[in-house]
Amino acid sequence: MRGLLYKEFHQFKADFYVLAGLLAFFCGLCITSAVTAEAETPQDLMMAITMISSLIYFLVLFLGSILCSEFFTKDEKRPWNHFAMSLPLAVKGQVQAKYYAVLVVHLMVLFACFVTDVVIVVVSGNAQHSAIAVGVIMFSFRMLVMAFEIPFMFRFGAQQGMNVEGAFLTLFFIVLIIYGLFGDISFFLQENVWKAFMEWLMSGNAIWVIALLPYAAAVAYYVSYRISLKLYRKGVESSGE
Amino acid sequence: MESKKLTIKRIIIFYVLAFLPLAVLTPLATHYVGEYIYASKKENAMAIAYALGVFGMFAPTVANLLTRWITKEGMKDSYLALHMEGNGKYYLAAVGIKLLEVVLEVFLIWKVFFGDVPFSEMFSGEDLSQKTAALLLQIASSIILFFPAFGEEWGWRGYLGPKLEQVMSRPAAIIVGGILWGLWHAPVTMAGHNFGVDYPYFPWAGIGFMCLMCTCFNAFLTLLTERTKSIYPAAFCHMINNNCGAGVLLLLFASETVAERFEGLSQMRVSATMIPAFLLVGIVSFVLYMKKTKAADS
Repeated sequence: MRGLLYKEFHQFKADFYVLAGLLAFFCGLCITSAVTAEAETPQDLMMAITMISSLIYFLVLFLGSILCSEFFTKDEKRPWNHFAMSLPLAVKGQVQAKYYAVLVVHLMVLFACFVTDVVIVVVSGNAQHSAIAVGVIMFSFRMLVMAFEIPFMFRFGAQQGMNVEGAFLTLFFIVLIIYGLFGDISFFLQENVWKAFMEWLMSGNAIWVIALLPYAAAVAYYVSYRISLKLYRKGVESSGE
Repeated sequence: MESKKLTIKRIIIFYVLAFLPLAVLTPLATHYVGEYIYASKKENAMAIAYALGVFGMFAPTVANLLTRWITKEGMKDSYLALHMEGNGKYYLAAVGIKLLEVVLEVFLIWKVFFGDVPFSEMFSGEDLSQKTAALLLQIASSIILFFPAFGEEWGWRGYLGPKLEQVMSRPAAIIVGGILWGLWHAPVTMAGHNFGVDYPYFPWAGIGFMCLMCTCFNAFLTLLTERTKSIYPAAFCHMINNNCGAGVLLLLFASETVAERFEGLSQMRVSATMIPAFLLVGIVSFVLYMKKTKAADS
């Protein structure tokens, strides 16, 4: 397993540098925004910093997920896939290595968000600031999406796997547009939408969904791994046909 | 097998490197703020205390890496692999046993300080459902954001523990490891961390108490680490201890009146009330660890 993980991250080296650069840029931007942000009241300032941090955490976790597809595309060569199946660790090892690698990359991004959050606490001198809870929710959401995506990547290739996410996002935006055209949008017309959103998030309506999201993501990730074990061989056999 | 002398040298280098950051930065921060930073109610003091706590927890990990580099040890026996296969029960125990211990601690606190309030009403309120959801989220967040605890565990259980076992018996290693870990907290304990500053024999009683708590906790964390040969179960358990401990639960999730009364209690008295729970888990872990070790040896 250690060898396979080494291979994954060795191949990922160039993308890792890109990810590290992006993380440094966005986390730096986040800290700079926290230092320079201005608002009428301390509460508004805290809200603004939390909003900026949350959006940046969402963005970097999303970028991490996109770069993770490289773990799959780099292996989509017939000789490697067939050779991999003949290794002592065989299918289980290959699949496990991919799931570990994807998890590690997401944890690395989350760690960068966590450090950013602590630095913001220091530079803003505001002990109450914490956007990392949003980071945890985003992380869980990304892991849930990856749990759906990875089996498709194993079975039909990385491109098809990413198409699943593309289709998911397209569907989401179509629903959003339809809602925007015909639904009640008074929520979005409020003076402070972000504040209203945070209040809704912590209200009785949403908190159970959010609280169960990490557990659902963990179960989904494990189930996804079991499904991928079954699909890996089929994916290899159909690749290059 | 490396020589005993070299191992002792590594232990000393590791401990000095792990101890220095908090020993230097905590008095500086206290001087900067002008009062005990962990007892201060100033906003900037709380911000510094939080950051110092989080970054300080990474000192043992940095010390682990630096000691390996200085003494040319390499990365063997790193305890970084997950080893989940066949060890699922230990991963579950890391979270489950700790949560059970917290429940016992809450029960003890209730018995000593809130006997006049029925136990069922300790966490009552209209928003009980929301509180339950928030607690679940708190537990999940503690496990996902395990980084600071990883920072400590990779040093104490992933490096110091195995090294101590090479130079002394296992029971002694657990006790000495726990005391060294407790003493490592001394700079922050002297700044009011965990027990505040308003207790008799401050800060010595706090330092001694921390050593006792750390020895009990060390037994359980060592058991988890040695059974799985991985530091992650210990890191998850440590994070649950820090983020979902009895004090945190009572402050965040208890009914309004209980939370208010709890806030007014002496932190040292509250910690002392929880001793039976620490001791129970510590002693059982110690016995289990020694029992399995004996079985393996024979």
